[in-house]
This record gives sequence, C-alpha cells and structure tokens, in this order.
Amino acid sequence: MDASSLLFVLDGLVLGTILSLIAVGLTMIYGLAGVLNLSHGEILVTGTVASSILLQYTGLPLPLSLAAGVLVTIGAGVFIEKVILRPVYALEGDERVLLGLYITLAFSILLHGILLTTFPTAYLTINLPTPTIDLNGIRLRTAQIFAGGFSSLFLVILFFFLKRSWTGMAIRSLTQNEVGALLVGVNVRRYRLLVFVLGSLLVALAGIIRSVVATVGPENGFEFTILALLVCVVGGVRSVYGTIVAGLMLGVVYSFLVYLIGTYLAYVALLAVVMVTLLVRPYGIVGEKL
Amino acid sequence: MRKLGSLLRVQDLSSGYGEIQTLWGVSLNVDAGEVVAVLGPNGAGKTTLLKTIMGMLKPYSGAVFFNSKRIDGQPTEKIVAEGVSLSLAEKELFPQMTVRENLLLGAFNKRARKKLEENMELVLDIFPRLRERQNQKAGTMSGGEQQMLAIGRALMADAKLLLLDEPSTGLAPIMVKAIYNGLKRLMEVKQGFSILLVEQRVKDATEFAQKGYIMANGRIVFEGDIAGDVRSSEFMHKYLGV
Repeated sequence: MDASSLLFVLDGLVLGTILSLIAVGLTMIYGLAGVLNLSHGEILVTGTVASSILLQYTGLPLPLSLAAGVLVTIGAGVFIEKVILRPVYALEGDERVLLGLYITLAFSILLHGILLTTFPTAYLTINLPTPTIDLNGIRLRTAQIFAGGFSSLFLVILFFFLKRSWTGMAIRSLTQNEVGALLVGVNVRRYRLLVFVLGSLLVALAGIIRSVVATVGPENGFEFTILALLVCVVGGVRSVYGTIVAGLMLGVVYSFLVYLIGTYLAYVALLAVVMVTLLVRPYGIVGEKL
Repeated sequence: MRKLGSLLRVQDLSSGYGEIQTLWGVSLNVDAGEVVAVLGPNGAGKTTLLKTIMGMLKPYSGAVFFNSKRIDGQPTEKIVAEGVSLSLAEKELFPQMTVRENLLLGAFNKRARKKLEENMELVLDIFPRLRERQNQKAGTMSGGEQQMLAIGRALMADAKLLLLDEPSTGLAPIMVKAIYNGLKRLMEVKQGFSILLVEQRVKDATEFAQKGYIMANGRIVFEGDIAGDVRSSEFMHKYLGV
C-alpha cells in the first residue's frame, strides 16, 4: 500500500469514528425509547453554533465556549426527551416509531430554520497550533491524529461503560427486554432520560472533533443525521457494537469513493454500498434480529 | 418449623389490565420461611396477582403489606429494593447477554450488589446447569435452562420473598424435576426465605408447598394446609380436575 492510500484509510477511519460517535447515540435512543431521533444531527449543530457565537461575540476562551456548546446540546437533548416526545411515549410499538419520526423530523426542520436564519455565519473551525508532523517521510495532519485519537478514546470509554458499569448494563438490559429490566429494578424513565443525555454528549463531542478536521456550519445538521442513520441501519439498528463497526466501514468506503470518483458521486455510490449491504444482510452487519 | 410471623399480607386486592378486571378481592398471607402455593386453572388471575404485588399493575383497591410496610402503588424498583422479586413464566431474559451477565443484572438493586458473590454462588449451587453455561448467551439456551436462569436472576436480587410464576410451563418432566430439586435445596440453605408459588401442575406444587390457596375466576375459593386440607378437598376435584 502506498503512502497516499494509507492517508485515505486514515482519513476514512477518522470520519468513521466521528460518524460512530453520532450514530451510537441514535442507536441507543432507538433501543431504549423506541424513537428514531431525526433531530440528532441538528442538536450537534446547535452545540457548534452556540460555541461559535460565544467565540465570536463574547471573547470567552475556546475551552469554555466548547464546554458551553456541549451543555447547549445536552439541554436540547433533554428538551426533546422531556417536552417534544411527551405525546410519543403514550403510544407503543409501530405507532410510537412513526409519531416519533414525524415529531423529531418537524423539530429538526424547525431548528434548522432557526439556526440558519438567525446565525447564518456561525461556523466553527478549531485550528491546532502545529498543522502537520512528519512520520517516516509521510506528512500527517495533526488534526487527523487528534480527531481520530479522541473519538476512538471516547468510543473505547463508551464500550467499557456499557460492558462493565451498572449504568451501562442497565442501558443494555433495557434495549434487550424492557420487562426484564423492570423485574431487576431498573427505572425505565430515568434511564430513558439518561440515554438522551449520553447521546447528546456524544454527538456534541463529535461536533467538536469534526470542527478540528473540517468546518461545521449551521446548515450541516441534516447531513449528519442522514449519515448517522445510514451507519445505524448498516450496523443493525439496536446494536451499539455493530454501529461502531459500520461507522468505521462507511467512513473508509466514503473516503476512498471521494478519492476515486469525487465528492458528488461518492454520496450516490455510498448509498449504493448501503443498499447492497442491506440486501445481503437485512438485519445489519452484526445481524441481530430485533 | 419456627413461626417467624407474616412476611406478605395481601388484603382484599382487586386489579386487572386497564378496564378489564381479573382479580376480585383477593386476600392471602405468606409467613417468613414458608412456601405457599396458589393453584388454579388458566385465566384464574394468578399471574395478575403476582404482577399486582410486584407493582407492574396498579391495584383498583385493597392493600399489600410486606414486612408490615405498605407497598401497593409503589414502583417496581422500590418493591425490588424492599426485598420482593418475581420470576415470570415468560422468563423475560436478556437474550443477547451471557448467563453470567443476566445473573449480574439480577443484583442491580443496591442491597443485592453488596452480596453479589454470595448469591451468585448460591444460584450456581442450586442450578449446576447454569454454572456450566455461564458464558453462553441466554437466548441460545433450552427452555428449561432459561427457566432456571429466570429464577436464578430473581434470586440474585437478594430478596426475602420470591414470587414464582409457573416455573414448569412447557418443560419436559426431567427439567421440572431439576427445577423443583433446586428450589428445595434453596429452602434448605436459606433460612427464613419464602416463596409464593403459582402453578397449574398440582402434583409438583403440593409436594413443595406447606400451604395452599385455590383460585378460580379471579377469586380465592379455598385455603388450607397442603398436607391435609388442599389435597383432600373437593375443590381440588372441582377446580383442578384431579
């Protein structure tokens, strides 16, 4: 493998880990609340817009602005769970999924409109002090290493959190059997809120990491939602681990497609890849039936 | 057996699913250290009774006392924390998790976490099958093994009272025997532990329990000691066909 294709793999992995961070929240929320949250990408952008506004107009230092952005995103997630989705929880099964789609789509369009008209120039880009380093003759962007390193770190922490901690085990138990979770004493409502907070935190971190390697603008929300949805579906809708693997896979595939056929066609080709994957493995690559 | 006093007292309990009432003024009592069987045909309201005690269904009227404390209307996780735990006939396991993880989750409440190792050893002791299959996914096990796991998970909650819903449903006789042997061993090892057992299989239940109630159409129609009253009663014939 030559140096340039190695760089594309790295590029893809970085994009993949970011997509995984976004999609994992979507997967967990779907597993616990039975709602496919179509405003998930929009709340990422809400956070980056907030950070960008604070940086531009208040002169707040970068770390504090970013922390404030994370809090805004978490606030938006809690708002969705506590207020927007209230009527949805009165329903069960397919009806809940459908109403959840409508309501979160509507909320996403509303947020999109507000952000775009009120803060059209609230772009967030974070520049690292040293732009590149040399590694055995290969010039690497520090931003890539930083972004890949941190998002992998967060995914690893998430993995162990879900596998080892009581809270993580309770979250997994709820996605597998709600009655069983109730029997062992898990409070369904409290964990539903918690998973929205956790998903929002992860999507906010993804936004920050993304703004290290690229620019995140107020119009990008829907794109993140779509990409995350693709990752979820390919990963198997309720499997967190499947989601992470699918994120990495689609990230690498997408990067190579951009390299081979250009940005525009890459999207189309990516959708084709997803379609073929689902034709072969209808329940996602991990293959757990619901 | 030494009398330890009333552990669970159900008073005039009425309950059901939404508008459909299936339980009409049921009263019963379980003493500490006692195994009590509730027998009755399908649809008699036995499972409704257990789910109502457990806080999964809201009672229309009546009261439930556990350890002299009123627990009806409390959320399920509070009732688990008080020391009651339920194993349902449907098992309700976590299919993608291993046997060990399922058991660990049984000890989710704070009190049980402190006695996790001790209870794990007890469960693996009374159901040796589970010890062999600790790392197998729960969803890939046989019906009988899943039933053992469901009971084991309920025991991990470090409860004083186990509500046991039809542990023999749909199982081969040899598995039913293994389960009841495990339960008998449990009662030998754990002093003061109580079980409220709901069953359709009269023979197994009456061999295990000391006291029995017979339910039909959502009401208690008979109560008495298993050894004398229940086995010889005309109700056995009338309601259970034996």
